[in-house]
Amino acid sequence: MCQNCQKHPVTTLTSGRPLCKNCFLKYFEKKVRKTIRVYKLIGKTDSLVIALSGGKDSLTVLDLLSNIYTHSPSVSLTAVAIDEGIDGYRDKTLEYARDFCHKRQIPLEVVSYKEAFGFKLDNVVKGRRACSVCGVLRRSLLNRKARELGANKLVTGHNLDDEAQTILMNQFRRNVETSARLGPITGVDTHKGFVRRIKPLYFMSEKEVMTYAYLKGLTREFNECPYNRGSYRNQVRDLLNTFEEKFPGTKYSIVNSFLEVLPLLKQKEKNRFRINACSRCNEPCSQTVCQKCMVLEEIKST
Amino acid sequence: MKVYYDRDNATFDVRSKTVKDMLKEINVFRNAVIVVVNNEVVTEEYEFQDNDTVKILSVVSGG
Repeated sequence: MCQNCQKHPVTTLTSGRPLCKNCFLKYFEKKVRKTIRVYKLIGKTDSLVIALSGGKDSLTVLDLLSNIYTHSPSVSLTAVAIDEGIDGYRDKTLEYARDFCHKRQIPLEVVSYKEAFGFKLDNVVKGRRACSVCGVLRRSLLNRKARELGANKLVTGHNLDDEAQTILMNQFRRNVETSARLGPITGVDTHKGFVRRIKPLYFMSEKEVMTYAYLKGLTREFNECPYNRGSYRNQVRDLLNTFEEKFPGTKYSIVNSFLEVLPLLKQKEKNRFRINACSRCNEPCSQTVCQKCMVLEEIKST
Repeated sequence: MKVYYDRDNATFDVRSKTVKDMLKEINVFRNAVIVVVNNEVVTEEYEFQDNDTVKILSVVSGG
C-alpha cells in the first residue's frame, strides 16, 4: 500500500517506497521543480523552445512546463518538432504533437530535414549509423531554429536513463569532450549562436516518466524509432538495465558520481576549447568545421 | 493467462501469479516497462486475478 495514504500503489521507487497515483504525481512534479530550482534551469524572463518529438519524455516536459509557467507571462514557451523523414514513424508522432499543442494553445514549429538539408533520413541511412547521422543533424537544426525564434534556452526531455547511457557511452569511447557538455544544463562555454539546452527530467528515470505520462494520459500508442533497436545506445540501455535489476540505484549512482566530477571536466575543456563559428555555415562549433557540415559532406560525397 | 507486450506487438501465454514473476518468465527487464492491469498501473507485487486484462508497455520511446 502507498506509504503516505494507504491506497493502491502504482509504483515502487528505487528506495523501496510504494506510492499511489496521486502521491506519485506529486512526488514527480516536486522533483522536477526541485531540479529546475537547484540547477537554476529557468529564469523569470526566459524564452523557451521545447524540443518536441511526440514521445513520452518531450510530451511530459512540455505538459509540466506549460502547467508550471501558465501564470508566468514573462516566460514564453514554443515547441519545435523535427521531421527527419522516417516513414511510418515520424508522421504519426508529428500528428500527435500537433494535436497536443493545439489543445494546449502552445505554438508549434515543424522543421524538416528535407527542407533544411534536401533529403529524408530514410534515403541516406543505408551503410551508415542512422542514430549518429540523425543526432548530429537534429541537434544542429534544433539549435538553429531555437536561435531564430529568439529563445535563450532549449528544453529537452532527456531523463536519468538517457544521461546514464550517454555517460557510459562516452566512457567506452573515451569521449571526454562530449562528456564535459553533459549535465542538467549543457555546454562548456557560452556563445551567441549557441542556445543552451536544459533537462528538467534529469533525475527522473525512464520508467518514472512513462508512469507519469500514462497516468496523465499523455501517451497514445507505442512509438519507437525503427532505427533504435540495433543502435549502440540500445545495447548500453540493456547493459544498464541488467545492472539495475541486480543492483537497484545503479543509474542514480552513475549520474550522481558523474555530477561530482563534471565541474572539473567543464573547467578542463573550457581551457582547451573555445566555441568558434564553423568556417562553412557559421554555426557554433568547437573545431574549424562543424559536425553537421562534415556529416553533410560525407553524405553528398556518396 | 494472456498478456500483451506493445514493444514486440505480441501476446504471450504466461503461468506466473505475480507481475514480478511474469516479467522474469518472459525475460523482460522490470525497469524497461510498466504493467497495466485493467487499465490501472500496478507494481511488481500485484497478484493476478481471474479475467484480468494485462498489458506490458515499453518505457522506450523515440530513438
